[in-house]
This record gives sequence, structure tokens and C-alpha cells, in this order.
Amino acid sequence: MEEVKLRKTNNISEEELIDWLKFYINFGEIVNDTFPAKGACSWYPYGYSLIKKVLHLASIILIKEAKFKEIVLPSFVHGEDFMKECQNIKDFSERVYWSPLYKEDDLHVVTPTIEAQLGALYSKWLQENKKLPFKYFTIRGVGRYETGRTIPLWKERNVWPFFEGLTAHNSESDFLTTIKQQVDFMEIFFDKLGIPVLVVERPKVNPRLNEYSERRIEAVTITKDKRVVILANIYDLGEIFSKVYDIFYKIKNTKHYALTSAIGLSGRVLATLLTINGDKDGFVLSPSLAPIKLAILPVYSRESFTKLAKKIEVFLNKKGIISETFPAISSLGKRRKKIKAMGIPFIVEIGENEVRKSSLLLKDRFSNISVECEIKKLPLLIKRRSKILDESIKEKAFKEFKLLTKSVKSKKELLLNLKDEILTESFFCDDPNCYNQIVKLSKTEIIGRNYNTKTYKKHKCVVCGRKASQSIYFGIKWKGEK
Amino acid sequence: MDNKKLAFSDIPSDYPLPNLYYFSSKFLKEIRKQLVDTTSILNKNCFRQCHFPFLIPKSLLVYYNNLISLEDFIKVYSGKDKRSHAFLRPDGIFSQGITLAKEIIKSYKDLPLKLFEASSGYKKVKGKNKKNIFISPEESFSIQGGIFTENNDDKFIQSIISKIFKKYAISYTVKSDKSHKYGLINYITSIDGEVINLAKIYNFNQEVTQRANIYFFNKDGKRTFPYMYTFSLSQNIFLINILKNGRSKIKKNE
Repeated sequence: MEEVKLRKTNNISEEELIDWLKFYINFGEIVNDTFPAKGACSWYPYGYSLIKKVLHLASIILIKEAKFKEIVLPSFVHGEDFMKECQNIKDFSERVYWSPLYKEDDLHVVTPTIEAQLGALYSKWLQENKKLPFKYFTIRGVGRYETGRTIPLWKERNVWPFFEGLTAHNSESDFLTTIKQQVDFMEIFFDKLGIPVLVVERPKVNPRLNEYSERRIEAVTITKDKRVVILANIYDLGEIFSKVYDIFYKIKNTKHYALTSAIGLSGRVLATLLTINGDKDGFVLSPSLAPIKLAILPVYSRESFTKLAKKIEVFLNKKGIISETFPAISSLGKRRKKIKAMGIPFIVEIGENEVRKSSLLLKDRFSNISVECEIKKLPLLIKRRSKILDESIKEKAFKEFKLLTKSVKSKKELLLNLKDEILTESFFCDDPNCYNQIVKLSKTEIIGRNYNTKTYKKHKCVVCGRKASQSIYFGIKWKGEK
Repeated sequence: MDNKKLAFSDIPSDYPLPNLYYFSSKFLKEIRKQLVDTTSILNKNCFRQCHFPFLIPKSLLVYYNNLISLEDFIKVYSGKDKRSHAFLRPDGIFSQGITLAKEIIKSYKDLPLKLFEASSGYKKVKGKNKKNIFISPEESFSIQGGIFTENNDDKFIQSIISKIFKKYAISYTVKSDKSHKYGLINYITSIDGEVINLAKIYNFNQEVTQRANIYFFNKDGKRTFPYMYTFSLSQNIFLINILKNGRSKIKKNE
């Protein structure tokens, strides 16, 4: 595989960034996409440890903030149940994997989403007199038959991990509280990960959206190539799916359909995290997230070097600092390159000096700063430096994000920023002609309404001058993003 | 052994599809604890967890020669018009682990390579007693591991499996099938007179690595094929353990 360097300039094209990601995701031992099936990857142990941490974080926040419970579902849904979901999503039946699981003439589907599965289960539970609300999530692989180009962790046929939740409620206030809790979940989760996001709500300008949900709230970010990425979705499904799956409850013999919502995110979160923090040499991981905190490199294969490296590894692992020795199988240069690509936050090299003096130079991946330290003081130094690095990496990501997003008060400024492909927000009235005019003139897309702000109340529509009723973001999405 | 006891334990519950189960959150909490215990035994013995796709292309089926017949694989089609097809993996570590091992193994210093995965496998089920969770249904969860080594010695895996069974105090019988091409070792137990599979070990010698062209350079710089062993720990181990402890323990953990 040919090495791909990311240029330092800000003018990185989408293709360059994809090539960089594809190269380092393999070389940095996250996933191996040479697996002989299109759109399917194997996870290296290092990548698996990393994604496990991300998923664990998402799970505990969703359980704590939104009171969800985890469930494990089978990989199949019956064809009939799935076709009910297809009533609301055009051509969906063509974009999944069908299987003659038991009989050739009785087809099942490798589940592509949670709705059909939990919809059928929720209906069954209500018939068994279980009480609403239901708030469940699951983490598993799903099948999507993507016919276009696939990119590891970004657009896959065998999507793993797929983190999805579905809720059902018998009161509107409980339903709205849950939507709010899910938004809180998104904000807390991405903040903890160090990914700056905007929470937006999509206006119904996309016909696909009309057929699938009442509302769609998304967490979006922008990457170095100035492309907007959707990281997580919350769907306000209203009664659409409860009518399809018969998720109802009765009050005094009157049938009421439950209100439902869905939430989802995928491995794309990790791909984005790696992309926004990465540099020309590969990934840069926060110490709090890195599966290996310290890489120990004997400079060459001498017994005393290897022995000291192993001694330090055992010492640090006992202190809870995950460390790994990278033995002199290949040249020092090659190993340094590998460790940088993997984004391991700290590195020490073991040579003559280190063996003689019992002190080391602790170098970090992010700032390249080296600090001399006695071996016994290494745990304390790593812990102290880890905190600083966690903050610095996050700060840098948020600073870069700020440069790529703007809020402006005039049509002229808006069009100028959009010409530079900046994710830009401005004020609009309710008339679709106003925001559609910007789409036409700037050749960008509507990303969504700013979900959190009410500042538009003080402003006028930048197109027609009437009172503004919303602030809308415009930008360019990653290729193939709907 | 039917599912009455499981139903009583309020654990894996009927899913609205025959022969498939969902794991309730209560059950999941229990199984997670056991998974942590099991994976920590594996981690302490230098096994590293990875993850493989559930789709496998036809080209990988060749490695299942003598293990699973083609008709037992579950086929999937893309779109309803059956434009193209693939298969669902019966296990992860075996065929798919080979593709990853090929990327990792370069030198004798990369050995032994010990990988494992905790996930689902899929295969057609034959026989009358399909509605029994202890007889592998079409989709079953398991822990599968693979070892690539310089030496032909499967005692190591046997000792790991013994440690895991000891941890759960599961009584078992080991049955070695000397006539099996890949030296199958079967770990079984019996509940209410019914034989329940617990674990399996296969010794592939150098046959599979040779076929997959996985090689390393030994200390003398000579190109060599590693030995390969695989094991699988069935979900039955966890189910038996939960059944043994019963409903009260699960309630306590709620």
C-alpha cells in the first residue's frame, strides 16, 4: 500500500483525506480493509480496543443520561416485518441482504436497522401487558447493500459497530423529555470524545425525510477537507412506526398508538475522530482514549535493551498505564513510523544511555516535547502529561472547528463564506424561497437549523428582511451523504 | 432439556422469529460479567481480541474443507432480485482470522499470535429439536480463538479451556476424535440426559497456513509456515452457569 501524507495546508481535498484515512486506518492497525469482501473490514486488536472504549463511553452516557437499557438482538428480521418498514423508506428492500434462513420461499433479512426488530418486539410486549415507556439500545453489525464506493468505517456493507436505540412512549411529555435526553447524550458524548459538533434539526426540504420521520435531529461536524459529516441522528418517528408495527396501548378500550423515537451512530464516529486529530504522520489519540498509552522501543536488538524495555512495560502495566514494547523486528525508523501512525500518545526509546543512567526521555506524539525522567517517576509524569495532552488535543480540535464554522448576519457575508466552503449559519424567515435561494446561489446544501439557539429572534431574514424565525447552517456534505 | 428452565430464569426470551432469541438487559448483565471473566483469562494468556465481519465471500469457503458442507452455510442475497450473493460466517476466527494473521505475521518474533473474538456465527440447523437453545440455533454466540505458533503443541489451548471451566465449576468430559482430519477435541457435558456441547479445539497443523500462504522467517531466515489451532467456547457455558445460579442471582443484580 502506498504511503499517503496529509499536506499541512488547509486546502485538503475530500479525495486526499479519504486516501489518507484509508492508508492510516490499515497501517495504524485500526481495521484491515483487505478483507476479500467489498465493504467489510476486520478489526485489528488495537483498533478493537479503541472502538470498544468509544462504545463503552456511548453506552454509559446513554444509560445514565437517557435511562436506556441495553439488549442483544438476533441478526435477522422476518421479510414481512421488514417490508412494513419499507413502506416508509423508498427502495430500502433493494439495499439489504435477504436470506432463505429456513426455507427458500420464506425470506428473512439481515437486519439493516433496529425499527423492524424492536417494533415487532414492542408490539408483542404491549400485548403481554408490559408497561411503557420502552427505551432500549443495541450494539451490533448490520447489513446494507451499498452499490457505490465503500470506505472503511464510513460507508460499508457490513456496518460494525452500529449503535442504535428505539423508544416508545404513552405520553407526549415523556416522549419530548426523551428526545431532549438524547440530544444531551449526543452533546456530552461528543464533548467527552473531543469532537466538536453542532446539533441541527433538518427542515423538511428533503422528500426522503418526509417519508421516514416527523423530525430529524443530527450531530454534525466539519473535517479538514471542509466537508460536513453527520455523526449521529435522532429521529422523531411520531406514530409513523407504531402504526406500522401496531405498537399501541389502550385506555378505556380506546386504542392509542405509542410515540416513538430512534437514535443511531456508527464507526464513522471513530473515523471522524481520527480524521480531525490526525496529522501528516497518522493518528493522534488522546491519552484517555488510547488503548496503548506508551510505546517502548529498544533501539536495536540487544538483550540489555530488550530486558529494560520489558521491565518498564511490566512496571507501568502494574501501575495501570497500558504500555507495550515494540521489539526490534524492523528498523528503528520503521517502528517509529508505525507508532506515530497508531497515534500512541507517549514513546520512550531504550539505548545505551537509558540502560546506563536508569532515566528516560518521554516524548509525546502530539507536541513532540521530550521530558527526561527517572524510571520510577514515569507513572506520575505520564499521568500528569496525559491530562495536559487530553486538554490540548481537544482544544486544538475545537479551535480548528471554529475556523471552519461561522455565524453571519448578511447575505453577502453568507455567500462569501460559503464560497470558501465554510459551514456557515445565518438568519431566515419561514419562507423556503429565501433559504433555497442561498442553496442555488452558493451551490451548497442546507445542513440544518441550529437546534440550540434562539438568537434569531433578534434578527431579520438575510434574504427578504422579514423577521427571522430560525438560523440555518449551509455547507457541503461528504460525497454520498444524504 | 427444553427451554422451560430458561423461561423460568427470565433470560433469553422468545423473539418473534422461530429458533432465535434476544438477550434481555438482565441476561446481558449476567453474560457480560462472565465475558469479562473469560476475556481476562484469555488476556492474561496474551490473547488479543479482534472483530470480523459477518459476511464472507465464496473465496473463503475453501478453508472450511472437511469442516462444514456448503449446504450448511447460510446464503444471503443482495436485493430481492438475488443480484449477487455472499455467505454468513459460521465462525469468525477461522477463515477471517486467517486474513488478519496474514497481515500481522512476518517474523518469528510475531509468534505466537493469539487472537480471539466474541461474536455470532451462523449455520443451518438440522434435526427435530430445533427449539432448544442448547443445540446451536441458526445464530449462536461464542468465543472463538486462534493460535499461530512455531511449534506443534495444542496443550496450551487445552490448559486455557480447563482454566475457564474451572472458573465456572462446570463438569465436563473431553472426547478426542483421533480419526478426525484436524484432531478434533470435543468438550461436552450432560443436562437431563442430553449431551450439550461446550467447546471444541481443532489442530490444523500447517495445512491451512500453507494453503493461505501465511509464512514467517525463522531465526535462520528460512521461510516457514506457522502451526494453527482454533478453539470455540459455546454460549452454552454461559447459559449453564446462569441456569445453575438461577433467577435469584439475576434479581439481585438488577
